[in-house]
Amino acid sequence: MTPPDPARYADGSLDPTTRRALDPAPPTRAEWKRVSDHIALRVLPCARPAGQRGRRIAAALALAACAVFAILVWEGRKAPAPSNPTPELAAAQPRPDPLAEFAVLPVASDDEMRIATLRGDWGTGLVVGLHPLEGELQLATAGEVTVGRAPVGMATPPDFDDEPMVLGFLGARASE
Amino acid sequence: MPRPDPATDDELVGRIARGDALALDALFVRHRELAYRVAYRLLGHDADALDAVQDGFVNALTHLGRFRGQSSFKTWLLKIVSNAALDIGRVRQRQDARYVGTPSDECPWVADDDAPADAGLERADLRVVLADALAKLPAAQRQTFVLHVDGELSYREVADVLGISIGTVMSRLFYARQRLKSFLAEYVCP
Repeated sequence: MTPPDPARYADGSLDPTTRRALDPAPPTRAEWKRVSDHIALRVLPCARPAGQRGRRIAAALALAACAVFAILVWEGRKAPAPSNPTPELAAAQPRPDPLAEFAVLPVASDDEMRIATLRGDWGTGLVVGLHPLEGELQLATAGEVTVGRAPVGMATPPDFDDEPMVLGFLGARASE
Repeated sequence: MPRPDPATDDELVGRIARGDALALDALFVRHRELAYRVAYRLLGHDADALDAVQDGFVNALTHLGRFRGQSSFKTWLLKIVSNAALDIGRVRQRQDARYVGTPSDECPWVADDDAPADAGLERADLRVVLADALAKLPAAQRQTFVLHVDGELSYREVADVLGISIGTVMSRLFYARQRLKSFLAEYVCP
């Protein structure tokens, strides 16, 4: 017998009879019934069996009871009975402010501090010494900057994936 | 066997919204085979195809607010079934890299002169070959091709279903056919 040329399926030139013969074997009636029942349960709420409805209602009631119990317990812990104050609360006094006598807050000097360890990724963010910008910062104008090729290995900061931007590096040539 | 319900799809959908189980059954029987064929072609696996049909019907009927007045129920259903099938296929492929069968070196339907021809087996083999070839297409081309060829949707309907232009539908179909012919040519018996 001559087998059908599979390439004819691709261009749609198989005759309808042959093409139908290549359709998948249909599911059995039992399989269709199972699918149909599942769809009805999801689409038609009233189609749910009484037993299942009852279980859902019981579960909902149990959940609600637990929630009410939890709220009662929480409220009971949060608000102790006012008629029976504990001795600790009754004796509590406001603590004096340890900084009340200072008009200017004292700051530790360099001989009182020592940096023991420093995480590697803090290296570019830790400010030491004087701030590098002590006066007005002069910005370049459009005529003074040309954007050429980005340096190899240049990456977008991970938190700004959605915002296109061009980054310049300190020390890069003005033409980059 | 019960007679087919003569009501239109829109009428059945309206009755389903009011809780009519008979209308749901009629709509399911009317469209289940087409939906299954599309899902099967996209997945090449009968149980998964049934799952896609089930998910597709449920989602199509529980999100009718997005459907009304935009297309026929058939195109709406096939859109959701095909998307469900692709989702299931992606999950299965992650679970099992060998989910999609690999073509065999043997000619799958070569007629054996010493044995009686077994047309049923031959067709089953051809189904596997078609499933393998379709699985090699990019998802967008596969979905477009299957909706048009097996879902029997027009170019316009496929374009509406996928939210693309007719030109893109034609382009995808062209490249899908070229690739399929190339894949299936491997199975032409010498």
